[in-house]
Amino acid sequence: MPKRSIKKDRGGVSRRRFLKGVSTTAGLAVGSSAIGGFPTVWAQNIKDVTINHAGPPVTAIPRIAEQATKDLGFTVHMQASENADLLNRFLSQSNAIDVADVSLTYMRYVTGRNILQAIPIAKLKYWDQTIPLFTKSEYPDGRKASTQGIAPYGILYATGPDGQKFAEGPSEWVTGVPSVTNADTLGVRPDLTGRPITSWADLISPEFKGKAALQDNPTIGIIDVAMAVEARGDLKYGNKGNMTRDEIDKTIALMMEIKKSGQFRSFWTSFDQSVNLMASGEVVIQSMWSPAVTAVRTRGIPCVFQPLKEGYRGWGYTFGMMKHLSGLKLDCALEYVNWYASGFQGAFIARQGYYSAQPETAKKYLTEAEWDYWYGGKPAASDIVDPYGKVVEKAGRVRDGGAFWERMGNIAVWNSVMDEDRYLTRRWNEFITS
Amino acid sequence: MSQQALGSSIRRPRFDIPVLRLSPRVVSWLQVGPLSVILVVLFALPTLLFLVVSFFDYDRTGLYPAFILDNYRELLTTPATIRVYVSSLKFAVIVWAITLCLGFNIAYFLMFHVRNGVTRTALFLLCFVPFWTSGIIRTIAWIPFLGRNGAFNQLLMHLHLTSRPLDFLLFSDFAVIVTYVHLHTLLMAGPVANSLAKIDPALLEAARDAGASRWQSMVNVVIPLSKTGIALGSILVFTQVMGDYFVVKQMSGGQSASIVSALSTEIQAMQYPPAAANAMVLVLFVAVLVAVLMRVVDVRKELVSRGDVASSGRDTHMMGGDARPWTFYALAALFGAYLVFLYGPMLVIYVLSFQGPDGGVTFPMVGVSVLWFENIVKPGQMANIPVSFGRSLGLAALVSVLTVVIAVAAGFGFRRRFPGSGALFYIAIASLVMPSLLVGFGIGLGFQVLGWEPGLFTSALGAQLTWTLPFGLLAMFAVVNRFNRSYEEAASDLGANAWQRLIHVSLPILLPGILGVGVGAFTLSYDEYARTTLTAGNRNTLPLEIYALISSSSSPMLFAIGTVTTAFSFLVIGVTLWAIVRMQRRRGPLAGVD
Repeated sequence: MPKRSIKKDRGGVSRRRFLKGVSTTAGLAVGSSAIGGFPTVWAQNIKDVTINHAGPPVTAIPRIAEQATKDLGFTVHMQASENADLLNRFLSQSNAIDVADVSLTYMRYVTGRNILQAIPIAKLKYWDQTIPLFTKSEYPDGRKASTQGIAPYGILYATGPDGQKFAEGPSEWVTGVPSVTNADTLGVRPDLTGRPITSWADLISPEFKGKAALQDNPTIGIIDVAMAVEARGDLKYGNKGNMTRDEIDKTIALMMEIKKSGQFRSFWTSFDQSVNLMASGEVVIQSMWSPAVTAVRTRGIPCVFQPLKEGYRGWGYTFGMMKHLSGLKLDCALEYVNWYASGFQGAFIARQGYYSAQPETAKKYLTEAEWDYWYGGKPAASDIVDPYGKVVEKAGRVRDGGAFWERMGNIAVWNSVMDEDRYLTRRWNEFITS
Repeated sequence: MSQQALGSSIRRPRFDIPVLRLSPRVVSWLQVGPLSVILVVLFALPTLLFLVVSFFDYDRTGLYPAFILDNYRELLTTPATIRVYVSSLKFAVIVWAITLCLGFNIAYFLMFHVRNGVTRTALFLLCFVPFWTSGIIRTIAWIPFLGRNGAFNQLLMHLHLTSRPLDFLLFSDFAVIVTYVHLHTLLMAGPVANSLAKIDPALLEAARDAGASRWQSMVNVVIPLSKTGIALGSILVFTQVMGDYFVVKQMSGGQSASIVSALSTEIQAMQYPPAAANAMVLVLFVAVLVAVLMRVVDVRKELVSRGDVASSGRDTHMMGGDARPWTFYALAALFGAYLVFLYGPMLVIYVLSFQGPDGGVTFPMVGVSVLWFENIVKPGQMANIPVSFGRSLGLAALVSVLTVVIAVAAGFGFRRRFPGSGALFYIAIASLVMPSLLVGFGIGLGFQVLGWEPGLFTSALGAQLTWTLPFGLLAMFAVVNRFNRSYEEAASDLGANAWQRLIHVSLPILLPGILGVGVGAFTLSYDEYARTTLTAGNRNTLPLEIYALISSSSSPMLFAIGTVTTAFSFLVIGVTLWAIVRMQRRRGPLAGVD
C-alpha cells in the first residue's frame, strides 16, 4: 500500500476552503503531489479511470466525489438514486455502477445474487477505527448491542472473496465497508403536541388523531408501529425486526384499526415530504431523520428529534464493490474506499446529522466545536453550519438525544428485511388499501 | 429521408417516377415498420419475459424457474386487489367524466370560437407550459396550495367562506381527483380538438338554417363527428389513471392505493414474480376495457373510412359575422377558469421561489430573496441542476423528433387495414398501461444480459420511446382522422407524385397536429421518471436529479427551477409566435391551414 502520510494535511486545506471563516490548523498545500507515493506508471494510468459511485441521495453527495477526485488522481462520479430505484439498479444496471452505498437491509437482497464482491479486510486501512457496534455487535463499554432487525454485525462478514454468503462471525472478508449510520426516533412539534412526548406509544395516541404520519415503507413502517404498540402494551414481540406470521397478522390488524380511526394524516416517502408535513403543521408527530428535523428548525419552527424511553431504530450503510471490478479499476476502488473512511466524508455527513462508522477519522476534519456538538452532546461553542455553509444551529444549543453513544448506544431495533418479507409485503398492501 | 433526397424527388419530372408499385398493404407495413420494431423489441419481448416470470417461484435472493400459479392465486384472492381495482375504476370514471366535459368544451372553444390561428396556438401552448415544470415540483406545490395552512384555505378563510381550514382538500380522494383533472384534461382536449378541426363550420350553419337549436346541432352534428377524438382522449385518460402510481400516493398521502402502488411495493422488495403477475392482470384488464370501447367507436376503422366531411379554412368565416354568441362568453369563462385552475398551484411555486434564506417550500414566507435562483447555478450544491437539465433537454428533443417521424409514418400506415394492425394497436395500448418501472427494469436487464452499456441515449431513449410512441400513435390517429383524403386525390389528379403529395399537401395540412404530437412527446420525455430511472446508466436526467434532491433535502430551489422553467417557456413561445406572426404578415394569410 502506498504511503498516505500527507492525507491529513490535504484534508486541512480542503476543509478550510470549505468552511469559510472557520479557523483550522495550518495545512500544507500539496494538491498535485496527492499521489506522490505511487509508482509513476500507476499515476499515468489512473488518470483515465472513472469510478462510478451510486448511492441513495442521503450519502451520494457530489461534493464528496469532487474532493475524492482532487485527492486521488482518478475521477469519482457520484450518482444519487432514490432508495428503491437504487436497489433495482443494482440488478438491472450493475455494469453502470462500480461502487455503491448499500444499506444494511439491502445486503439481505443483494448478497447471493452475484452483484457485489467481498472486500479483504487486510486491504482496509481504517478497519481498526470502525466502531465495535459494527465489527463486534457490542458497545465500547462491552455491552452487547440489540440484534433485533438487520443488525450490522449479522451481514458484515462474508465466507469468501466472492461475497455470496454471510459468515456467522468475523472472517477475512467483509460484504461492504461500514460508512454511514444513525439512530432514528420520532420528530415532534413541541409547540403543537401540548405535552412532553416520552414514548413511541404517543405515535398512536388518539390525542394526535389526524396529526400523525408513517413512513410508507413496509419494512420501516411496521417496525415503527411495532415499537408503538409494544410500548402501549398491546403486543409483545420476540423480535420486532423479524416478526412471525402471527405477529405480522396481529400488528397489521391493529394498524388497520388505527388507520380507520383517522390517526394518520399522511404516509411519506421522501425527506422533503417529511419536512413539509412537519413544517406546515399538517403533522405534529412522526418518525423522522435527523437532518429533516434540523431542516424544519432552520425555518424557525420548533421541532425536536425526541429521545424516547424505548430507544431508537438504527440504520446504516456499507460501501460495496460491484462484482465486475477487476485489475486497475479494482485497485482504484480500494484506494477510494480507504479514502472514503479516512475522514473527509465522515465529517461531511456529520454536519448533516449522520454518523460515520469511523468517527475518529471524521474527528480530524471537524472543528472542536463541531465535534463537541455533533458527537459530544455538548452545547455548541459557536454557531453550527451545515456542509453548504448555512447556519443550522445557534451557539449554546445541545443536540437532541445527546452524545454519540447515548444515541447509538440505545438502539432497540434495526431497520429490517424480515424472513417473512414476502408475507409482510402482501399484508402491507392490504393495510395501505384498507 | 435526407433533405436532399426529398428535394430531388420533388424536382424530378413526373414521367421519371420509378414504376416500382408497392401494394398498399406493403406500403402500410413499411410505414408502421419502425414503430412495430421498437415496440416489439423494447416492449413486447420484455413483457413476454415477465409473463414467464409471473409463473416463477422466488425468495429474497433469487427467482426459481417453475410453473406455479401461486402468484396469481395470491393476487386474486387478497381483498386488497379488488379494493384497488374498484378504487382505480372509480377514479378513472370520475376523472374521465370531468375531463370529457372540460376537455370537450375547451377544445370546442379553441376550435370554433377563437378565430385567429396564432391566438389559438398561443392558448394551446399556454395550457402546456405548466407541464414543463417537473411533475415532482408541481406535486410539492399542492401542499402549500391545498394544505391546512395553504393558500387556498387562507383565501377561503379570508373571504369568510369557512371559519376553519378544510382538511379534505389535501390527502384525500378529492385531492387525487383534482390532480388527475389537472394533469389529464389536456389529453382529452387535444384529440377532441383534432376531431373538431375537421368539422366544416358550414355544416353548423346548415344545421342552424335547417332550424336546429344550438343544443341539437351539438348533439346531432358536433358530437357524432368528434367521436373519434373523444374515444382516443378517453383511452388516454383511462390508461393514465389505471396505470398511475405517483399521483394517488402523493395526493392521498398514501391513504389510498392504486393498482400499481401494490406492484411498486413488490418491486421495492425485489419480488418480481408477483409484480409481473400484477402487471399482466392490469394490462389484460385495461385491454379488455379498451376493446369494449372499440365496440362503440372503432378508431382504427374511422381512419380507414373516408373522411366524408370537408374541412375548409375556418380562420375567416366563422359563425357568420362579428356578433359573438352567448356561448362564446360562457366558454371563454370556462377556459379562463381552467387556466386559473392550471396556474393556481404554479402561482404558489412562483411566489415561494422568492422565499427568504431561512424559508422553506411551504408558507409562510420568511423574507424575500433571490438566493434560490443563485443556488441553481452555484457549483458544489447537492444536485447539479444545469448539467442534468442539459441532458434532459437533449434527450427530450431527440425523443420528440423520433416520435414525430415514427408516429406520423405509422399514423399514415393505419389509414389502410393491414394484417397485424389489430395486434400492433393493442401492443401500443399495452405499452401505455404497463407499469413503467417494470418496462424500465426489463429494458435495463436486457442491456445487462447482452453486456451492453446502458446510457441516456441508448437504453433510456428506448425506454422513453415505448412511452411516447403509443401516445404519438393515438394522437396521430386523431390528427390523421381530421384529414380529408379528397385533397390528396386532387393533388394526384393534378399530377403530384407520392413525395410531392406528402410534402406539399398532406404534411402542411396536418402540420398543427404533428407539431402538437412533437410538443406532447417532448413534454412526456422531459418529465419522464419511472421508465428512465432503471435505464439511465450512470448519468441522471433532470427528473432523476430532482427526485434525488427531494429524497435528501427540502429547499425552495426546486420552486426556483419551476419559475425559471416557466419564464424560459414563455420566452421561447413568445419568440416563436412573434416569428410566426411576422412570417404570416409577409406571406399573407395561409389558406387551408388552421
